[in-house]
Amino acid sequence: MSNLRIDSFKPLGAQFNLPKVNAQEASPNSFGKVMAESMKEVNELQAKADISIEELVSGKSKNIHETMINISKADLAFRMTLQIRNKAIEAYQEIMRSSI
Amino acid sequence: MISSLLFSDRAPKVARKSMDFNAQRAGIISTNIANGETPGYKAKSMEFESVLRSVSSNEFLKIKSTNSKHISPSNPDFSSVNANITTDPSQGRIDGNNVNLETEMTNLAETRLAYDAAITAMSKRGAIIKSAITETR
Repeated sequence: MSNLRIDSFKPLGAQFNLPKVNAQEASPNSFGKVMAESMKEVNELQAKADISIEELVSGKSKNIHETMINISKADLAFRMTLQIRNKAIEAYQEIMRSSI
Repeated sequence: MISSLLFSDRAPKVARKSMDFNAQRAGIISTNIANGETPGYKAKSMEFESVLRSVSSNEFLKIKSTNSKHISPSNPDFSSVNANITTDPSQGRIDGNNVNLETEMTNLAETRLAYDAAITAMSKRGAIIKSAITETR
């Protein structure tokens, strides 16, 4: 009966050789950094869209399609960042809700 | 507070003024067309693009705030901007009327296009802000 003993729990990480994650040290491409960079990019796209609107309405450029493309770019970039943020918060809340 | 947060950007102000001018220009062109057979009537035209451009580019030459505690330069007030309305002095036809119907129709189409483009651009821009407020899921 000696082979029926139950071992104490071991961390799964040791079994599967998972890399240790240290919350304190952020890697150069951390999620936070990527997010901050995308925010900056979204902001730039929106500023660019604003400038092209101004140029269109003041007759500086006759390029209607270019203006619309710039606005659509700003719109899409913003919506995507918003959704990624929503998903990240959702994931966080899911983890916070889970019982141990 | 709310208005400085939402309605203080320069682009909507320029677009709004441009739409005002385009509506006014449509009125002037309509007057020209309506008076196409009036003896002695001189066609009027309106130019606002250069005025709008000079006001909005003046903004770039304005002082920059170097400290966050400084009061930032406010956007130019576009309500005082006026367009130049000119009357074509040429003799034109024998009765003194110089309205060219084809030119007026072309100008009207162009004005309408510019007006529509400004409206579409502004409503698209508004949709972005709206989605930021409502967090559309």
